Amino acid sequence: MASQNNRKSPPQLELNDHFTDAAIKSVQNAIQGLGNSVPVVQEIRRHKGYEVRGDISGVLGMIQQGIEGTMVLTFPKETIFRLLKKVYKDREFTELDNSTKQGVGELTNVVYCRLKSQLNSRGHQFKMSIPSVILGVDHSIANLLQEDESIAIQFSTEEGGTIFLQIALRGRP
Amino acid sequence: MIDTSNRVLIVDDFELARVMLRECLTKIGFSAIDEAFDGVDGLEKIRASVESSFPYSVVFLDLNMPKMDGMELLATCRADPALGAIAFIIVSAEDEKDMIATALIQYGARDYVVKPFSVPTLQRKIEKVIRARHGQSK
Repeated sequence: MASQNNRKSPPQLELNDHFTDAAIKSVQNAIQGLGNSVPVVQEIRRHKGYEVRGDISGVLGMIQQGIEGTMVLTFPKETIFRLLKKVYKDREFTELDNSTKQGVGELTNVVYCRLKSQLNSRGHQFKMSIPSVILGVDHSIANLLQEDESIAIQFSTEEGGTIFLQIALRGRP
Repeated sequence: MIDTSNRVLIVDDFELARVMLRECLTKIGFSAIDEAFDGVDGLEKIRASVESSFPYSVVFLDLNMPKMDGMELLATCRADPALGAIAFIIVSAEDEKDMIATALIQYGARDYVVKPFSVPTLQRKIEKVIRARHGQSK
């Protein structure tokens, strides 16, 4: 308890260019780790009103003292099938089965850990989090926060795939 | 050069992580590669390997797993003299210094690899661990 009381408060967090760069690097690092080319950023959206749609999403909470929010990694099924095929080599993916769920869960975990590492190296104190995976053809996941509290980043992968990363964070007293 | 005739075990609850690590180990030259999907399964396989004539030399261990996590598996193995010769390399997406220090110093893991990693990085870690293990057994 004493060590918690002596711990400095983490710095303010804004969804600015530094944050966006860290988020981009996290996704690129994770996807490259599968043996794929580095995904390319297509668009960064900070305005409310956009809608990200996909077929499978990894979701987890981002929590530290004074900040709470969510991170969502969304894929159309064709994209995740192609990404996983690079790892599984001889296996064809045709449906959103347990392997694809596990794959998205692991990717979400790696992206978050890379992002957390970068943020925590700047004084933040984001905690470990466990992903959940949502399946549903052409689903969308809406966050309910304001314009300056959320971003959505669209990536393109080799062979024309798409990945979306959404982060919504709000400060709390 | 690593002696790739060593038997190794991958313990991770995510199938993708196990497949990727198996691919890396195969590229390095290992062929006796087993998998476990949580700490309980891992401990059973470790104990069975010691009772067989072909115990695991290295166990690649994730930290966050259901039923029995990596730290608990490490602590259980460290408390059993029969399992003392097995070297553990933590393989995790987490790179928190406190967690790494705890795994290495308090629970006796030999090294730590952060996901995603490259084959050369993994190979260097394995070489170091197996060399140290052979040095201790002389």
